[in-house]
Amino acid sequence: MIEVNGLRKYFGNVKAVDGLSFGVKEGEIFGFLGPNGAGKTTTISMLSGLLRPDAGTITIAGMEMSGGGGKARSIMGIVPQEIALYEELSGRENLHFWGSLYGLSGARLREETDRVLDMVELSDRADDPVGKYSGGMKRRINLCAGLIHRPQIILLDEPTLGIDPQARIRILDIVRKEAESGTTVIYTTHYLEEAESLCKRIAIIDQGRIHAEGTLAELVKLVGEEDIVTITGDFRADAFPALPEGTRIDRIADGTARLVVRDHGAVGSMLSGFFSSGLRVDTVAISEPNLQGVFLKLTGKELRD
Amino acid sequence: MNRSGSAWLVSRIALCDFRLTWKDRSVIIWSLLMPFVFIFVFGQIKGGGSPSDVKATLTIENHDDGPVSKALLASLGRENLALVFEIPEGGEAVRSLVIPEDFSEKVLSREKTRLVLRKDEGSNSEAGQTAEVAVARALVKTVSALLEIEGGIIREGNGPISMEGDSLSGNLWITLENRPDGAAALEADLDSIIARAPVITVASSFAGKAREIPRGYQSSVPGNLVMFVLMGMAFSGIVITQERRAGILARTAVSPARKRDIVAGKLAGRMMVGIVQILVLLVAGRFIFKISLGNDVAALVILMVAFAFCCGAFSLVFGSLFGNPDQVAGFAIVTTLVMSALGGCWWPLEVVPQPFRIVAFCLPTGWTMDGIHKLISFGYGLGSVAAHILVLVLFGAAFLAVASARLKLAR
Ligand SMILES: Nc1ncnc2c1ncn2[C@@H]1O[C@H](COP(=O)(O)OP(=O)(O)OP(=O)(O)O)[C@@H](O)[C@H]1O
Ligand SMILES: [Mg+2]
Repeated sequence: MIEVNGLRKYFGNVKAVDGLSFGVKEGEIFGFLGPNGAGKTTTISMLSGLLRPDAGTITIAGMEMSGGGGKARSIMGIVPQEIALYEELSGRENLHFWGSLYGLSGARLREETDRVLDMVELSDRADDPVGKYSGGMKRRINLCAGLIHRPQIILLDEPTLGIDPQARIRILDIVRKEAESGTTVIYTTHYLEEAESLCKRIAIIDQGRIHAEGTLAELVKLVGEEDIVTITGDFRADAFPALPEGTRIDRIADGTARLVVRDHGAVGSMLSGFFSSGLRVDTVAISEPNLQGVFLKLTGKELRD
Repeated sequence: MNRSGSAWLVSRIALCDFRLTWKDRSVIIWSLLMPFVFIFVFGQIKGGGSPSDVKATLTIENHDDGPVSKALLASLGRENLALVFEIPEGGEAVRSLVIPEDFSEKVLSREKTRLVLRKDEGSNSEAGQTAEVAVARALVKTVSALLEIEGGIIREGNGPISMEGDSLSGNLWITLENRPDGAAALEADLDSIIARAPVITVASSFAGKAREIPRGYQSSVPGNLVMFVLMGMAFSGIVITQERRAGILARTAVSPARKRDIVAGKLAGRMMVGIVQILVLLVAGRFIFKISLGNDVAALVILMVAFAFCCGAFSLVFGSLFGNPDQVAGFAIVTTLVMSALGGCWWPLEVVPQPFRIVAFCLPTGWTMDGIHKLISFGYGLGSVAAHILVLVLFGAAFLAVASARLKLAR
């Protein structure tokens, strides 16, 4: 459904997008996971035809985007990262306007408006001006405006930014349902959990490049089968007990250590090393391989909310 | 309508813009209410009412007591003038008509003579023109009365005037010299002709240079209309910068609407706002301020649409050259005021020195004001403003070209 090859966009010296290639199949949710400034928005802008790439090609549903998109735009729904709505108009009036640009009118436009308003549970506030909405409510209307015309492809740029957990779960549900009905979704986020729980395939992007791409399981394999064990207690970094085989220190400071363990069994012998040295252990946390680890390993960065 | 075609998209964008504009209460105040205040104040300062209400004073210095000067004064008395025959002690006449001693004699014997209309340098030039027109009209009346009398004498035969071949011989002065009651008889004849309702009404509006300068509301309605429409449009450039900042332009740009649809939609929306504003002010001008809209309302409508097009494109220039709403506001106020002043919105172009008239015709405001007055104040038709309409459309096209080239849709 979406084919991207060698996509590049520089802003002066900033390599916002630096040679991206990926493909998204119909009905798939493809996640872009990356920190601030990774190039997610720039990529979405090029996919939607707003920005002209410096190099590379984009093909959407078999149509080249190089000529500005043309027909491809009418089958796409875009949910921009920044809320782009008329504050003076009500939620309903906004949706009427954005829907009409996609050829909706009359009864059909009213029905679709009601449908999306209902979907984000904003029917009762639909006639208030958007300027009087809370941030989360605006974001929900922002989402609606991209879905009102039942697009075949949805590009969502961090659609859950600054939204409460309940509304967030609701939005993820909506996106999931859209995909189930055959809609192709590109979803950018810097929330690991969202990417993990929502996306069929994930591209880890940083500094304009894709560092890894695949299903969650495929990505996790990249960091191996190792678990991360985090220990806190009363110990000093320079007087750490000897470690069993297959265990290494990832990070250590006075009172806290992060260890990479190949085999769960090693945790026991490690702890007995602590006890026999008379060191106090307060907490032990074992985490299985996850996206966080992958991300850390690939980019050397930790994603924070 | 094809719901994915350009016309559909342009109309959606235009209607949305139009609706949004009126949601802002300050727009209603600035584009509809303020002009009324300005029209009223300017109209009062500039004399109020319609031009025919003005009575120019004319001091008469008559050194001739012959029948012709009496007839001339009689017809001047029928003009819309305040005649003054004595200059008050220590006063000075602003405007006076000097009738020389031998005026009647010279006229009756068909010799050259000279009437002098003196105008004080600082005097009201509009009144001066009114007086000039009135004197000319009175002269025409007097002379035609004389001709009529002469014609009668020739027909009767044996008079002091006769036709010999192609030429006239003799003159009326001889009659006056020879017959003691001649002067009285001639006076009576002249009086009756002048007093009689004219068989042919001499057209009382003078074409060309001798026209009256629009004043009062006739001047303040179009002046403020042009200024406030232009100002409203220039300020609406702010909306474009705000929509760019809010990502609304970008969102529109990723919809099926292309850049040219967006430009056309924004232009059409602004034109609609401008046309509403123009309509309200013209209708108010006609029915509240009682101004004349001229003889060719259709031409006025076409001229106003061209003006709205030009202003709409002007607004897009502001929205595309600047990224910051404050910059737009600053430039909008300065350019609007300068263009209004130089374009003749504040005072008639008829009274400014020639170089300023040239400047005025480098500006769309100058062309608009001149065109409006041609139609509503001087009674011309479409043909006389064809050039004005064309120039406004060309200005608009130039503005549109700049705006389309410079308009950035992405944030
Ligand atoms: N219009 C622009 N002009 C100059 N630089 C830009 C522009 N847009 C983006 N950049 C730069 O390109 C890089 C990528 O930006 P982009 O907005 O694509 O990141 P992002 O992944 O969306 O980040 P975030 O999570 O903060 O939204 C950044 O360094 C940014 O400063
Ligand atoms: Mg972004």
